[in-house]
Amino acid sequence: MRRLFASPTVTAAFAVMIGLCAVALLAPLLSPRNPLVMDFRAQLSPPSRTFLLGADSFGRDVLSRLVYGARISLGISLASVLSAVVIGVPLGCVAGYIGGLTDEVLMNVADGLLSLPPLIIAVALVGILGPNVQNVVFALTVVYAPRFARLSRATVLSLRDQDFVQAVRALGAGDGRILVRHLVPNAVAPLLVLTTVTFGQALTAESGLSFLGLGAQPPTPTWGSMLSESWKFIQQAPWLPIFPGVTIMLAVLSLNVLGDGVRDAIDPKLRGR
Amino acid sequence: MVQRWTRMERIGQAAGLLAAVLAGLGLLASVGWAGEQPVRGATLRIGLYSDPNTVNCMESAGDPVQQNIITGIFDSLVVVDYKDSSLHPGLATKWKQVDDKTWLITLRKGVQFHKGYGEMTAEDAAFTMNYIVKNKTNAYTYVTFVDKAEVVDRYTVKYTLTAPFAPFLVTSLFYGSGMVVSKKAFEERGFKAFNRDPIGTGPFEFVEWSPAAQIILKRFDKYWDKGRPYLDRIHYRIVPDAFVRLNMLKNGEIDMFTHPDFKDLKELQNDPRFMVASRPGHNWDFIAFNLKRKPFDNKKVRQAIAWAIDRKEIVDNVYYGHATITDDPMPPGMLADNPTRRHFPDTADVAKAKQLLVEAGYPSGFTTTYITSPKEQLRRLQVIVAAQLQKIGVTVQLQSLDSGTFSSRYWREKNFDMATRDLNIVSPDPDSTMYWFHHTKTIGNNGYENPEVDRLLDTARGLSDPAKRVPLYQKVLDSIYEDVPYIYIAHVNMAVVYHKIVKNFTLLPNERKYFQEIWLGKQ
Repeated sequence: MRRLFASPTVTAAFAVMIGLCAVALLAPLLSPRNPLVMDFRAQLSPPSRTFLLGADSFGRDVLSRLVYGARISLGISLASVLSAVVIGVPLGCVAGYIGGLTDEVLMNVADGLLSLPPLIIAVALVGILGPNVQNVVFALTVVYAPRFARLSRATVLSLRDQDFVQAVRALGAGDGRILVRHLVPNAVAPLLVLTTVTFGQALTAESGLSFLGLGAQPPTPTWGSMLSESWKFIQQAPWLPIFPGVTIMLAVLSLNVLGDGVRDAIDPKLRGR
Repeated sequence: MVQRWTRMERIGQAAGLLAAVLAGLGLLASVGWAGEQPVRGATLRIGLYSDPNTVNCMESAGDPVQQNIITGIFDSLVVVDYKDSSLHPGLATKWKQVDDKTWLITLRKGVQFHKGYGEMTAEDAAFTMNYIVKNKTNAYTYVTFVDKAEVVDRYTVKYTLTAPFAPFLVTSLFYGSGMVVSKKAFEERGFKAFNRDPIGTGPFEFVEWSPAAQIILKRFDKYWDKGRPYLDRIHYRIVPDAFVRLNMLKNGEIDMFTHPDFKDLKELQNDPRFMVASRPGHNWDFIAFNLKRKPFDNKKVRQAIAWAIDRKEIVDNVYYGHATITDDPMPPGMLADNPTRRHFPDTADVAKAKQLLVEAGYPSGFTTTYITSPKEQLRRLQVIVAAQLQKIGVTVQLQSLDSGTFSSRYWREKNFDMATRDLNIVSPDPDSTMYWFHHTKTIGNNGYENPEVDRLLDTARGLSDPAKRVPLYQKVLDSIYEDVPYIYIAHVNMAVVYHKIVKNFTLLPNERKYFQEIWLGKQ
């Protein structure tokens, strides 16, 4: 922990993410207006005292939409990363531990998925299943689960024949116990790094999907859909796409910095530097 | 704005003649083209938003992009003047109704096909019609009631209908099915190849089509209308994004583009380099209900929604004024259209809508789904409608589907609760806007069954006297106002933005353009 916050950049990134998560959780308290109420007289109005970040082309408050958008955008990315972990890690561990045909089949499926660009798979899946929040989470889970499976398999594979595992087995521990109590804990550190980095990628992917109209359906605000609704008005209201754009950038940057920070902090090779 | 499009209106088919008259009145002196002589040569570069499906007139139906292109390659037998709905000779010089179901058409002599395919004769005209009827190509939409076409002599064709159909000339011989392809070329190439390499009699020959990039036509030197066209080439650029098309015009990469983003028009109208043509179009945006599903099987629910829609808010904020508010499917200027005859107001009547919902048995509203295609402006319309319906307690979950999914769910599967679409009316006759969506036996029908409406529509299409048809269509309108199978919102303007050097361009209420009249002036 101490090592993690040794770097001011990482600390700042952490603070940004905590802040954004707090905004998402407290959205009803923080947003100055109802994000869905239209006031056409105010459409495209620049930032002012009434509309702190201006109003969009329907006359809806941009700040309120950003605040509520945090819920959807962060929520979808977090949910899909967590379900990717929950599905990928057990499969990877089992594949690595048992080996044989199970390993062969699971890893070939994972490699197949990893060989395609993530966004293409996600677009295809959401396109087929229909655009809504659940399907986006499902698609991103499918996209990101293989990498967690791969990583946990590699860790389990490298450890399963080591002396301490043999020792535990000699003491009479079953396969389940060995996996859960002795192998998985060793994979936590690299998984944590991967989770943080993937969170950032999932956020980009979610924004991309909702930019394409494949995410949460209007009028629900998400950062990506705010961007796609506003960029056409860039000539009339140049500030409009900037706010969601900067927010997405800030969030993704923080998550990437945080991921790097976590890696540096737990990588034994970098210790003592 | 108004001034501009009325001027565009005036530049009609007989542009030269009209120009002389109007210039004499001093009306056109200020805009400057009246005194100019047409200049030959030059290439007109147009930005279109998509590839057409095909460039074969037999495959024409609603495709707006195709309309922009095949009017250059093919001529139609008759030409309708949109100013007064009068009929003028095209490839046909004379027409005669022999009886209820028989028409004799006399063809123009000496009309040549492109690329040396010889003179157009009755053989070609009959072949085109029979091919469409027999193979049910897309243009079959306009000729469902045609039995066959027969060659009488080299320049006379006889058309036989299966049932009396009064607007035959306007619906079947004006566009698509009324154009003539070269039989020889068609048989040489086959349907598939002809779709991408057509031979017609139009003012321009097809040169090449690079999908998603460009389509090129060049001047046909043996065009029957001597002296025309003025342009050497037409160069269509396929540019999906309206914003990009706008910037290409500003950078001088194109001279003209269709389907501008309506929000940009105000700025363009103030730009001295460009002209903005915008006029009410033959189309309508509508909300459709699935009458086979609850709660829309209940007339009161549909009425409630119709009263809850604020059409003015939609027209102002989706089309920025470039649309005409409507509550019926009759585009401005069409036979039986009466703009003063209105049932629903421009703005919403929330109290009345709520009252109707109570009467329908939904005092606290309901939740339903609402689909549309990916067209930007329809999505915007949908978001506004959803906010309006929220005010009467109706929650709609929006879904923007891709065009393919939307089409299959809307047209074929009828798998939707509420849907929004826009429709282009290709034939300038009320039959095409009324029959196809309200008669029980059509694909556009979403479960609306009213025997009285069916009877009126069937009778009206068989009457040749327009004056007798009008009251029948107005009776249909009364039923529609009461039953609300659809909610009609607006007739959206046709809009084209072009550089001032483009001369003598006429904007029609549809996507067709008469390129043979256009020339380019000096920069």
